[in-house]
Amino acid sequence: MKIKLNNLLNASQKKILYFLLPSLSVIFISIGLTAAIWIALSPNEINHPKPDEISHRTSLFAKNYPANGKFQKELVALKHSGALQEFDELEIQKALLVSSEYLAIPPALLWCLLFQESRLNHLEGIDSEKSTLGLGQFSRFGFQEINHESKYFTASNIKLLHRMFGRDIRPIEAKKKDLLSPSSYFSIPTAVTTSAIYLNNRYEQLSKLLDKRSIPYNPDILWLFSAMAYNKGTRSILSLWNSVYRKKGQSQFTLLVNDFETFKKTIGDSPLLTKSLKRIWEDRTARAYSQELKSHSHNITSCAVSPLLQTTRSLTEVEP
Amino acid sequence: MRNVLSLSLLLNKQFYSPQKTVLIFLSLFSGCVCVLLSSHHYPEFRSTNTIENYQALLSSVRRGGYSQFKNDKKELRKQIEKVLSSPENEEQETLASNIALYLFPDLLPDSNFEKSSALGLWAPLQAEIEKRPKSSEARMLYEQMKSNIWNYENPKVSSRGLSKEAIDTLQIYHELSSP
Repeated sequence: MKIKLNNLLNASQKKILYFLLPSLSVIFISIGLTAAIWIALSPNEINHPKPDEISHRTSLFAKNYPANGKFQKELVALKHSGALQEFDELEIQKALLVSSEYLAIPPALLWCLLFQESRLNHLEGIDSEKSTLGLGQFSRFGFQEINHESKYFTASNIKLLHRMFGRDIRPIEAKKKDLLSPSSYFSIPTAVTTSAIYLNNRYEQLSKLLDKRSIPYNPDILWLFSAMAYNKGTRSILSLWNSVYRKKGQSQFTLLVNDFETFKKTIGDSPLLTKSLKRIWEDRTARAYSQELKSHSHNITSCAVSPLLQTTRSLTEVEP
Repeated sequence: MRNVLSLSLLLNKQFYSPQKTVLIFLSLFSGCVCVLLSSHHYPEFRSTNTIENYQALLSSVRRGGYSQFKNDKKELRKQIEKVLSSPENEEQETLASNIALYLFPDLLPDSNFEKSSALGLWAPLQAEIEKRPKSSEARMLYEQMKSNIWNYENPKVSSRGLSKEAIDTLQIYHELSSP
């Protein structure tokens, strides 16, 4: 009798055990896994915030452009003289807003870059033998990059072409005899889109380098560097970065790519610029490039950056 | 015999004259100063002497063919590696870094921001050209490399042109890729 009872008890215990043990183990494993995932993710979010979470709290760029009095006056004079037609200006603005939104380029920067390059003359250089042409002063190597080297850069570039023109319009060339062709760089939407893509490629080159070394950066400052690279090549910027990194260390370099005042101070430092360019070119060329780079970045910055952040400007300049 | 003796005495007398000694000393001293000043004023003079294999590389492609080029490139690599590990001065280090950027980017320190660009933009193309030199594919790869280097250094194609090392590298691979 005793044995039977024991057997019965064992059987019922066994049933409970068979049911409870797997259920409990499933519950505990689930809780454990959830906790492990939660713990694994939490510190990363705290220790490694994304660059734009660190320093891109407010945009550096002006909502209304050009932000500087000098370019505002020039723009008025261009319109007054008929050198810039209202229709062309609107077409530039339309293409610029689509491109900048799609590639996340600050519109003020793209506009100021095109203004600096050609004074918004989309036919710039058409009757000359100049090596750079049109709205964004494109060279044959610029066309080569857009037409044949898309594999090095983001797929968004080609998607933007599809969005703007409904198809891939490449190869893009400076077609003097077919100005209205979507594949002609003398056509305004094509010139704006192509220039935006080329600028975006410079940004991508620079940002990849910083990401690779886990150096946080302010995207707005990086856009300013990208505009400089558009004009003088990525190498000039990297040589400057190497100089700052070697001379002042990582903390000061991190400040350069995050803090607008440090950026302005560094770009205004002619001896530092010249010294870094001397590592690439001979003395005379390095000096000339240094001056050009300094004045180019000064013009772009004063045109594109919000007047509120430009403390050295007169009140007449900051009027909208 | 007397004549010979008197001539040798005269020579000895002239040679050992105090004026002559001072003159020789001064000329030797000024010669040394000139060499020192010129090497300080024209750093490239000093640098090209230390990395002489670089100049030989282009002529080796033109005259000695591909196998000669490979050997010379290997030698140059050893030299650049040595200079980069213990440069004598800043000029030498700059020259070695510039040559390394265009021919041996893997030798550059990881702290150099240019290293990644070189490894991505032209080092793979150069390796492909070297795999099939003097072919139409090599020519296409060369055109890509040329465009990448121009866009990297001087997108405006200004009259000042590219850096010396970029020009030399393009010349080397132009020769190597010409069918």
